[in-house]
Amino acid sequence: MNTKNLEKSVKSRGIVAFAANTETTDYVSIAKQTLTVASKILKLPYTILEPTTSDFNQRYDIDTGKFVQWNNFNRYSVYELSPYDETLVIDADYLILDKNLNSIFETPWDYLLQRNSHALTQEWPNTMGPNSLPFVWATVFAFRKTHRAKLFFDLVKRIQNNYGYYHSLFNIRERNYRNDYAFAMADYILNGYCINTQSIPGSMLTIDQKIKAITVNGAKVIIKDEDKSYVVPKTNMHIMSKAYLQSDDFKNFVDII
Amino acid sequence: MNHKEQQGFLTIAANTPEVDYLELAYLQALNIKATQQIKSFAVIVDPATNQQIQEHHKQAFDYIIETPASITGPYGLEVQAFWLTPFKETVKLESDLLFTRSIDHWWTAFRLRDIVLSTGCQNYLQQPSASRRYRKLFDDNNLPDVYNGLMYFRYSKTSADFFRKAAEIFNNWNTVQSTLLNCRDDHPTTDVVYALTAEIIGREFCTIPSMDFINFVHMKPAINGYPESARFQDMYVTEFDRGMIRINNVNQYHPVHYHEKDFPTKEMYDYFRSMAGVC
Repeated sequence: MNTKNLEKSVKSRGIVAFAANTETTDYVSIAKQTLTVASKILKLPYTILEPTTSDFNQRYDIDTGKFVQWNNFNRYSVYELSPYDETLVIDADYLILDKNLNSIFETPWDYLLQRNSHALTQEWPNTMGPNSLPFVWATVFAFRKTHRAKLFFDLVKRIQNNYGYYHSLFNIRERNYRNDYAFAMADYILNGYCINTQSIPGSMLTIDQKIKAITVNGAKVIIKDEDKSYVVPKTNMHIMSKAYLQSDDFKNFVDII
Repeated sequence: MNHKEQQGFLTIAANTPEVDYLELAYLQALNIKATQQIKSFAVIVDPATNQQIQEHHKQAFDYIIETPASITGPYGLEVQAFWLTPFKETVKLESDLLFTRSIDHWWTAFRLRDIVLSTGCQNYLQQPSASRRYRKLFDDNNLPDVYNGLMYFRYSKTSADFFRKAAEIFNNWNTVQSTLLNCRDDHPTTDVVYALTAEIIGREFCTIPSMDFINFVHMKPAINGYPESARFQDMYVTEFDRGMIRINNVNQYHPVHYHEKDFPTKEMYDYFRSMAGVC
């Protein structure tokens, strides 16, 4: 009997998102929809993970102009919680519309972060403060279950647990805990206090305003807000309007995709 | 011309009431002995500074060369380096520059020219600086973007011509100044004089722009994006970690021209003294 194929280890690969409902936002429902789309586009299985803490942080809600609850703690636990050998982690509000993320698994890395992002209506600062270093976007990242990846997430845990110290060390302006910053700091330290240029390719498009509708027209996506329509390529996008992601229009959009 | 060795480092220490350049040169000598394979070190001093040399200095400096005080401004001793160096091949440094790793392999690149001026500089992120804040005079007069903080010269006709021409410019600064656009320097500065000299003898003979690593991290404010009124030590966390200089959590692998003369700490002296094997 030829046992070659049995001996060969086949790595599992999948998509993971954290979701915990808050007083204002049904993150689980949003994650189910965005992961459904992601799974269909990338042809990968998905898993929704529940945060390992019930503590809440705060985020600015662009729909209401108020600060609302958000559980963004303990993202480092994804290393232990993910059922896959190779994991693509996305925020519940990250909409995958192209297949590019499949190709990142063809290259060698232990973990891969998204370094660049641009928004539709504003220019982002790219550093953690006026005298700080560039940050990364924990909205989408990937990792393999390797020793170095474990070191990375252990370091993120250490930074979260000692955030006051690292906040000062890295000259961070915002007081609120951000995974974007914790991931960036862990990345600097793990890379021997050097700037790492390895990244998920391209710049992440962020839809940073209230949205009324999103429609797909061939290779283009039309995003309508209260005043204008924006035509962008059919690409992955980070949608900040949670109100839209909970709307019937988004449900219809997911059904069509 | 009395060469004693093939290769070595040279700096100039002429103390002022504000700055003890001799101590900076001493730290640099210890630093070079701790980080380089080619590590002979010579210092040019004026008579007043020579009076301040102590036994511990003598242990770190391989050569101490006394020369009369400058009569052409604070940087006047610079152009004498070619005639005073004890080395056939010299890397001349400003005294407020430290290495965190060996640049022994740079000597191979230096040998592509008789004289090599470093071109451009880097910020603490180890990226080429795009700031022109301190280089308006160079841009206005289309001068090469050279820095004398780190340069190489070999005993050669090209180098002799270079330093003779540079001395001429130093000695006739008032005339030269009037020919430059937007020049408000009452005293000649070495960077400008060497840029002018490079332009006269041909920048292709004394720079290697394609060797873009031949430069250093310059900690002046605009290059690193912090206010002119501040010191980088106040803006960023600076750490000294067993020979590594870390600025704002970025390890400095390139030579660091720290610029702020109070940057060196006792810890640095102690560490490099122990690593250099100097008492």
